[in-house]
This record gives sequence, structure tokens and C-alpha cells, in this order.
Amino acid sequence: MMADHCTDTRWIEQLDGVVADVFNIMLQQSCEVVEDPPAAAAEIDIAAKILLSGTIDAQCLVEFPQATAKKLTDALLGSQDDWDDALIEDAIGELCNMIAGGWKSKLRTAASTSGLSVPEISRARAPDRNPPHGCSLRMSRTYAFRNSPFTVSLAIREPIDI
Amino acid sequence: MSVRVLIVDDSVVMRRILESALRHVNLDLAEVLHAANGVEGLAALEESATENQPLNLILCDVHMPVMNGLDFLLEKQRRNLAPGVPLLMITADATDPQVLQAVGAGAHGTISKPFTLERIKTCVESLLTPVAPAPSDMGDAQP
Repeated sequence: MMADHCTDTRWIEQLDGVVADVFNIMLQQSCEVVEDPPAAAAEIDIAAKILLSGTIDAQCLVEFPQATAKKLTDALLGSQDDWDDALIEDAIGELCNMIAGGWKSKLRTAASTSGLSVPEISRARAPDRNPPHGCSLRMSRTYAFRNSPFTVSLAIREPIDI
Repeated sequence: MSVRVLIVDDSVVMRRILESALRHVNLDLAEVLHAANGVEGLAALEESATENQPLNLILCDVHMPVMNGLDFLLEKQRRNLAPGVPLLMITADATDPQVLQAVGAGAHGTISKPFTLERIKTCVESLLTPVAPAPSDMGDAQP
């Protein structure tokens, strides 16, 4: 299990559930949690970040190696192709959007007064992981899709009801 | 019934997914128009009206650059474009204030992402039957 700061299993299980739902519902495919991810899992080629602001302040960051991003794009579009970078980035942004929206919808805190930003895509190997000011609750989880890793990180400003 | 659909979404991937989903629904799909934001969506509506090629359904994302989905809906109504054509908001966040405003302003319902093909099929078929349900019946349900 990989959690930077948060060790509250409720938060971690909720994030795992949201990620699993996105893959099960949208792709009809599973996505497993990677316990003790290998160093290769830390390789990042594409990242997408979405901010929640309002009653809830949070950041959702997804980070993908290129190979996993390609597999995800294949799965979303239902075919294999030599997708251009813009389309792959678009797919990663959509995934981030669905995870952030799904996570938000499960919160008890008045979610209707908070909004999601559009995804911000980064091609840097070291994307800006700095969350908004005051987001002290942080967690990072590595998952595997078709045996390829990717990471989802949440940073949340407390207090917030799960 | 031959059907023309407009998909307004800044994500090319999501437009392709939605079009693919529509093609799996038992519709005589004559044409699917794509627009990347509300401004392009309005232009598509204007063109459809000018060419007397009416649309039967509009699927619209909420958060888009240039013009978002709520402003697209309000401007469409102000210009009286495609009156009576069902419009579904596509969103990853059904609790978004803009989604709630859009439904209040006349959107016929929402489809939450992630969605199943069955969810798309149910919504679209309900809206395209001769007697459409009231907007209040088309609230989103988890797939």
C-alpha cells in the first residue's frame, strides 16, 4: 500500500473504489491496486491535474507512463492505433475528470457548491505535484491496468466529511 | 426515424466514445455532428436551421473552454435555436452547480461519466420516443 500521508483506510478505500468503478463501468475492465509498486511505476510521461474549489478544496492528479497511457487510450476508443500525443493527453484528462468527479460525488460535505476545473495536462517527467494551499490530507495510490502502472494522488483541505 | 445528433464536448476522446455508444443504440443514425465548445455548438445549430436539417438530440459537456455547456444552453434558448430538441448534459460530476442550473434551465437530463452503453441507450431511446417523458423523469441514475 502506498499512502504518502493519509493512513485512514476509509479515504484510501474510497479512492480505490472510485478508480475501480471508472474502469469497470467505462471500460468493462479491471484495475488492480499495486501494493509496494516497483520503481518503474514512478516513471511519468503524462500527468493530468484537476482542482476542486469551493466548499471542498482538493486536487486530483493522475500520472501515467507513456505505455500505460497508450493502453488506456486504446481501451477508451475501442481499438488500437498509433494515436497522436494530443489524443492520448485528452484520454488521460478524461480519466482524471471521471476520477475527480466520482470522488467528489461520494463526499458528504456539500459538494454542490464546489466545482471541478478542466484538466491541466503536463508532459513533464516531474509534474507540479504541489497541491493548493492548505491541502494537508494527501494520499497516493498506484494501480495497474493491463499490467501497466499508473498513479492517482489526492490532496484535500480538511475538514471534510467522507 | 432517421436521427441527427450534435455532440458538444471539448474532448475528442469523449466525442468519439459518445458517437460509438450512439451507434450501438438501435437508431437510424443519419448524422452525428461534433463541436468542441458552446460557440461551435451554436454555429452547428445555426447551420442546421439554415439548411433545414433539423437535429433530434444534443449531447453537451458541462466544462469546456470558450463557452461552457450552461452558457451554450442559455444562448441556444435566447436565439431560439433547435427549440424542443432534447438536450442531455454529460458530466463527471452530477453535483456540479452548473449541471443543476442547466437542468433547471431546461436540459432534459444528465448522463454521468463513467457511463455504460445501456445507460446511453436508455436515455436516448426515452427521449426519442414520440411521447417524451417530463424532464423530472430524466434525472441521472447510476449506471
